[in-house]
Amino acid sequence: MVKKAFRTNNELVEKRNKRLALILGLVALSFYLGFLISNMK
Amino acid sequence: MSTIAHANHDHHDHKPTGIKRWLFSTNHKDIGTMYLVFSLIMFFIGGSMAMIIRAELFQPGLQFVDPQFYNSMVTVHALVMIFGAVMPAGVGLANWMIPIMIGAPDMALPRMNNMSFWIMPFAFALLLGTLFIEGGGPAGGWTMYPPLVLQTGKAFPFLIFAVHFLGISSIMGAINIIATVFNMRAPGMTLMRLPLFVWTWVITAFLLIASMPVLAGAVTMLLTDKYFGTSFFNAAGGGDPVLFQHIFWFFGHPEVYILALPAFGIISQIIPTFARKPLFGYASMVYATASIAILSFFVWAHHMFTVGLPINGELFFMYATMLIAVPTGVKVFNWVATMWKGAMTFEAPMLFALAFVILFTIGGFSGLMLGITPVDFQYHDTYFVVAHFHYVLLTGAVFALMASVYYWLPKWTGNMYDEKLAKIHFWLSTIFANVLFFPQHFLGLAGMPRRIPDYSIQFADFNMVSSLGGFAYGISQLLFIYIVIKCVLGGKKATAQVWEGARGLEWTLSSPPPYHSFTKPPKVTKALMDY
Repeated sequence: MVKKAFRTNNELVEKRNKRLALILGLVALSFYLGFLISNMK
Repeated sequence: MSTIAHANHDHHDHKPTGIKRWLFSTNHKDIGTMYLVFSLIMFFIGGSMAMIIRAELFQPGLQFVDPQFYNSMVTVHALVMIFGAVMPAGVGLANWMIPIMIGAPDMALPRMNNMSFWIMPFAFALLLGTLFIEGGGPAGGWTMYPPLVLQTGKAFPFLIFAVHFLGISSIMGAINIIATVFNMRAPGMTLMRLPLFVWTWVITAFLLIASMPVLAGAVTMLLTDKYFGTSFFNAAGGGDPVLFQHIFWFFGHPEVYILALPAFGIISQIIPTFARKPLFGYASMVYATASIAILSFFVWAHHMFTVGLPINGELFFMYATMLIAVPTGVKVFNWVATMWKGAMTFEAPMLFALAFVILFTIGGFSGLMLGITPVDFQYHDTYFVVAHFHYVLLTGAVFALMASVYYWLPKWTGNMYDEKLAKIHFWLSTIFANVLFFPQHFLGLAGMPRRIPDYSIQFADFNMVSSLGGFAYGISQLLFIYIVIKCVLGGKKATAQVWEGARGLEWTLSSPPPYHSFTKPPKVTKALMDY
């Protein structure tokens, strides 16, 4: 898969990078909000 | 090997000049350099605070600073060293080395990379600025336990926002590293061919993403408790101060491994090079690193055995803590087995790596002692704890960073460093770090509490020895600066491979590598990575 991405074009890699970054960022944000909300009474 | 080196020489090597090169940089090497320089400055700022602490503790009684300022020094020293020195140094190394180790042209998200770096100077301006405002800096300890931390004056919101910014910076850096390693590897660079340094950083990046938001949540709750009338940690309002300790250490223990795992990666690169043998048990190293990372989320309460946990809880956290010794033992065994019957030479990086293996293990053993619940009731909050975590973080993480700088400096600058001076730096550092921290074990076992500016007379001798070791260690680090500057300015030219036993993609590039490397992906073969 990595091989293909490198061969085809940089746009594809960029798109994948941004998608992964978005997912990881959302995970981090959900941890943050989750901890805050779960400790509210 | 040589074909790859040539393939990367024949492109244009334009780079921006002046301040713009650094301010708007999206180049992983420049950003890596900025991280490393920043962390070096922070080492000296944090180090000067340590000198103040050791000067005050040189003898019993109050001599130089008032207790409030002493507490500030203890607090800010820790925050600077953890968030400003060791973590950014690791990220700097990751920036410099990961792309050239995996054959990528740059980090996956270069503009975000720039942002994660430039957030840090602002965050530290906020934090260090508090030392000069009315009421002084934060003085409740780096752990920021309520209700004590809520007594902080005007410095409080600065502290909270500095921690938030540093967390954002770390999370962005972690996202970048994961995206780089998962999406940007050169053809043939399979996951199980990744250099161990890259593996340890990927795992560290996941730790960062899982633990930093928890810290951010905890300090946000502190902020709202102080200014917006909430009672997360206020018993009078139905909250619980111990809740903060649980949340903090749920971040805090993985944080320990965020500092230590990249160090493990560095050592796993250096020992095979200078033993001229492949790393013993590569796969087990990867699995051990992952095991340590996973276990690190299940041991947090060993930092709070004395708060009154249920006995079953204490036993669970004691056994879980003991369990971490297993994958850590696997790593130490593998490093020793790598050296076994190797054709070893003892250049400065190897010396620091060897010292790491021995001294980090001492820190690991004192950690095991602290992990035994009934025994911890004796050691808790004493200088034994201070000795333990300084063995892990100074002779552990910092020694690994020193080793990495000597190892990769010829690659970065194209010049060899002064080996003779580096060896002198090694011996001074090793001897005086032990003079500084070993007596603190005895002080702790004898009952000297941590975080105090004054102490009983019976602790005087060991404190004086410790302080002398501290001053000597501090002064000997100036030699490190001199060696680095001398190497940057010139010296014997380094070859591409630099070290006879070095293997991997980064050593196929010229020294220093071109500004834009691996613009055409290299082909990674098993032979390139192996002996």
